Amino acid sequence: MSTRETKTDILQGTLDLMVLRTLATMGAQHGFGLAQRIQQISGGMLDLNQGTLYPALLRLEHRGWIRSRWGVSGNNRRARFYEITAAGRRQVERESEDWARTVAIMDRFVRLTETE
Amino acid sequence: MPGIWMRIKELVGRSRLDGELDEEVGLHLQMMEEEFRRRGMSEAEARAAARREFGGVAHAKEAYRDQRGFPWLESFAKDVRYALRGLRRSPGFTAAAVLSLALGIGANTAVFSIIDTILLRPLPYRNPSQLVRLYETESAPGSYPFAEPDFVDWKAQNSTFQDMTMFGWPHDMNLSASGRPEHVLALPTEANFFSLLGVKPLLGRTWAAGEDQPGKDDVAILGYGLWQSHFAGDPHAVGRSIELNARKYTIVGVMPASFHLPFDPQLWVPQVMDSKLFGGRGTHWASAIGRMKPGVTMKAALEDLKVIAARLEKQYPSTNGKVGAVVTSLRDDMVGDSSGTLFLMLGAVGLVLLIACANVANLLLSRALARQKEVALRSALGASRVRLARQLLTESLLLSLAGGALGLLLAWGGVSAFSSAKSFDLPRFNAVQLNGAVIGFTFALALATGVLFGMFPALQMSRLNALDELKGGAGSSVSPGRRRRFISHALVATEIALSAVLLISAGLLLKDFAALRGLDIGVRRKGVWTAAVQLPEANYKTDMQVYGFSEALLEGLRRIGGVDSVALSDHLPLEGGSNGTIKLRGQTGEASNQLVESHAVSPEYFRAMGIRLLQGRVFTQADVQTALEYDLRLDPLYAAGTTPPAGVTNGVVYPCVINESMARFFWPNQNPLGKVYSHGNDNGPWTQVIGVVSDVRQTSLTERPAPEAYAPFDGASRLFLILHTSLPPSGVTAQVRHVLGQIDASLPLYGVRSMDEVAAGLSEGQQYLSLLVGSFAGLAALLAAIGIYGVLAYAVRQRTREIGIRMSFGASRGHVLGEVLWEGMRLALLGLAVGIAGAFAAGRILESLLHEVKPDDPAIFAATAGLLAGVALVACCLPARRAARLDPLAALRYE
Repeated sequence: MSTRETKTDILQGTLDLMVLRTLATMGAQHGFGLAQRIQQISGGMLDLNQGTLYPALLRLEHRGWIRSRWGVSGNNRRARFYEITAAGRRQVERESEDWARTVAIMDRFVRLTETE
Repeated sequence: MPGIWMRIKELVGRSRLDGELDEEVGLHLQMMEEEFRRRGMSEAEARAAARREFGGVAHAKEAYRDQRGFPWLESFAKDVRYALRGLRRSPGFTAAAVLSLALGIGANTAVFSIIDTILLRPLPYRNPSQLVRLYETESAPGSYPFAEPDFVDWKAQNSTFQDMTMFGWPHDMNLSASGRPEHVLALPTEANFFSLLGVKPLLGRTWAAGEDQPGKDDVAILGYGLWQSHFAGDPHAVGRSIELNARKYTIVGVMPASFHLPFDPQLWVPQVMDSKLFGGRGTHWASAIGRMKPGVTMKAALEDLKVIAARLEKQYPSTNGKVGAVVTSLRDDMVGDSSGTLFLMLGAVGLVLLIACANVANLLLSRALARQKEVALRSALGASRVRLARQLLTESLLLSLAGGALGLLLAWGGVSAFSSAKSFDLPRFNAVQLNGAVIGFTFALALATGVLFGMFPALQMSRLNALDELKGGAGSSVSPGRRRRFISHALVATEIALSAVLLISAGLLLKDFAALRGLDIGVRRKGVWTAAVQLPEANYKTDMQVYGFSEALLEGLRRIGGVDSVALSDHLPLEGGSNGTIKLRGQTGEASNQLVESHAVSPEYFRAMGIRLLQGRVFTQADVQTALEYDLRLDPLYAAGTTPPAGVTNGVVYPCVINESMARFFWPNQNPLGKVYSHGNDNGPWTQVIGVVSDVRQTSLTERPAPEAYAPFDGASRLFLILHTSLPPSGVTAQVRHVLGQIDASLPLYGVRSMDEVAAGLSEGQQYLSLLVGSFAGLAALLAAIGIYGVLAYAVRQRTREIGIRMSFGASRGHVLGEVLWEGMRLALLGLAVGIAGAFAAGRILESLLHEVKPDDPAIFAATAGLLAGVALVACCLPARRAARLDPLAALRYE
């Protein structure tokens, strides 16, 4: 799809962790700000359809990991702000550990193919 | 759990949330545009870039909305809406399916509600599992009533029972509450009867201790029915006084409608516990119920009672020689042999439901095939197979639940009609009702049937290849899947087989009923008028008074014009009576095991009943006089509780007329006239045979005649009046009432029936059973016929083009007709063969319910097979004719 450089599709299930992690470090954000931050952190390497962010936000809210409220944005516009809950922070810890483990395992496999 | 509350709010505030989402997404896009503008894009470029980065706006919103609320619930609701729409589009199919299911489920619900009441629900007494019915055994095998002294000993000496209670046979009594006296059925019970069962009265109280003692027994408890009919449900009925058999009684209580067993009496009176009244050991007449101690098994109770019986046997060898103990659970005793009838009915309705299921499954299969393209399209548009199968199953479940709801209504109507008709001789039948258990049963049944018949099309559908379906127009409609055809053919053959089993069973029951109705019971059925009169002891104390009444009555009845013959007796044929063993004069050792029915009749009885004299003579007035003289001599001695001296009894020889069976049993190849026997006593009184008459079914409609001895009738406290006349029954009744009124105006005439009605009353159960099974069978046959018609009609429609091609190549109409007919009839004949084999097997279950007909009656099998084949042929004819009449040209263009 992209003409300039290779962008990576979002791996199934990883968007939740990205959102949670971003909110955990940034504090309350509206949808656009969140999308910007995620793009920024990924260094523009991520092929994020920003629209898919909203179903993910609703899913996280249903699970009680984030909460949302309507507030006023920088240039005085009504916007919905999302912030992480205590349960969300615990979930971030859990998922980060899981992710680190997964990465470590995948890393070994990747190296295995290189040496052979 | 914060999610649930949030989801509920999402359900409620759907439109507001949609607005918020629009706003949120709108802002996001706007901010993106601004960002791109800042990077130097034009307005149009910025908008396009924003859209691209955001992805599909509608898609994102849709994904968002899909997660809101309760997605599974909403998709279920969607399935339901979709199914409802589909069903509404084909009202004929929907009506046919719902109606057949309603009939099947309704019939099952009705029968289950009866079984629930009678077999499953515990008796409405305290700790009913502790309650047992007690019997004694006698020399002949079986369960017999108690001798009162034995009961007293059992009650005093046992270690396994909390208590025992005794009660007598229901008595006919004359009730005069206000105005004209009426006949009622009263059950005499010991004072602890109600407290032992643990039942509470609706009003007032049950017996107080000691009310079963002589002089204190002038109290009565009303049954619910009598309280309603004679006291208009008066809440102040307790304390009022009524007259029973010309004696004053005070009403102390009213029982609820649920309490009417055993014997279904209209009221209860105390059984006076005075040993002098009961005739001693060896006179077996009383009934008894015991309440076992907690934790005691019936087996242990029986062992306990057997020890007592053995002890009594040693103590009183002449009367208690072979008297043992029988313990049965009170529930089994009350249910009796009705469980056979009930399970037959359950089996019958179960088969009907299976047939209905097969039919609906077939309808759904045809429908699913017709909708294959639609389904293929949906699957191409991304509906998963699971989702598609779920949708089909939703449709089946909707059908079955609608069928269940309608069936519940049908069952409710049926049960209330039946329980008020009181047509079955089933205990607690009037208590049958639809309760939670029954409704639960119906719901479960509806779900199970929905899954059962919905499974076939759902499985079928999941095998579907979407691409083939969308491509193939002509190709796919020429030959429907072989597999589908096999399934629907198997379903139809099964339907025919099941309905054959039902029809044959119904035929057997119907033939049995017809045989019972036409049975030679040994007496004339037509033109015999009967009724009963009860003489209250208070006004008719002596033998002479009773005798005087019966003579006056006979004289009065003879004066009615147009009457051929007039008789009195103490029992009617078919309704049983009393029996006992006899001992021939000169016979040594034990009396014979064979019970002899005894029956007192006035001289003209045989003529009035049409009983043939075979040998000797029947009674004359002189025989009646002889019997009366002996009774006048002996009765005072018996009443005083003493045994008459041998010198007196040895000279007493009553005349008697016996039936053929008795002559054959006791005096085979001998002349029975002049033979003499006693009722077990070696010193008389004696009985001498003066005549032999033809056999009569005395004990019941279905039992073969037993040995029977008639004695001259010289009066009884309960008399049956028998008139042989060609006059209309209502006229006779009015005239007899008049005659009776002139003799004693306080006596009600009751139980007015023709002899034919007496017999018909006894075959009523069989009549209703055969009609019921017959209507189930008719229903089954109809459903099967619809099934076979549906399958053929569908096949013809599917093969229209094929038939058209063949006709245009010269196949004759006759050939096409024959071919389609054969396709249907092949299934019918296969089903019939299986069904006939099944009916042979079912015959074994049916055997206990048939009396005069064998369960493998070839005529019924042949007739039923012919009938069903005929029905199937008619069902096949319609589609076959349609196929034969096809216009080949039109058929070729048919899509």
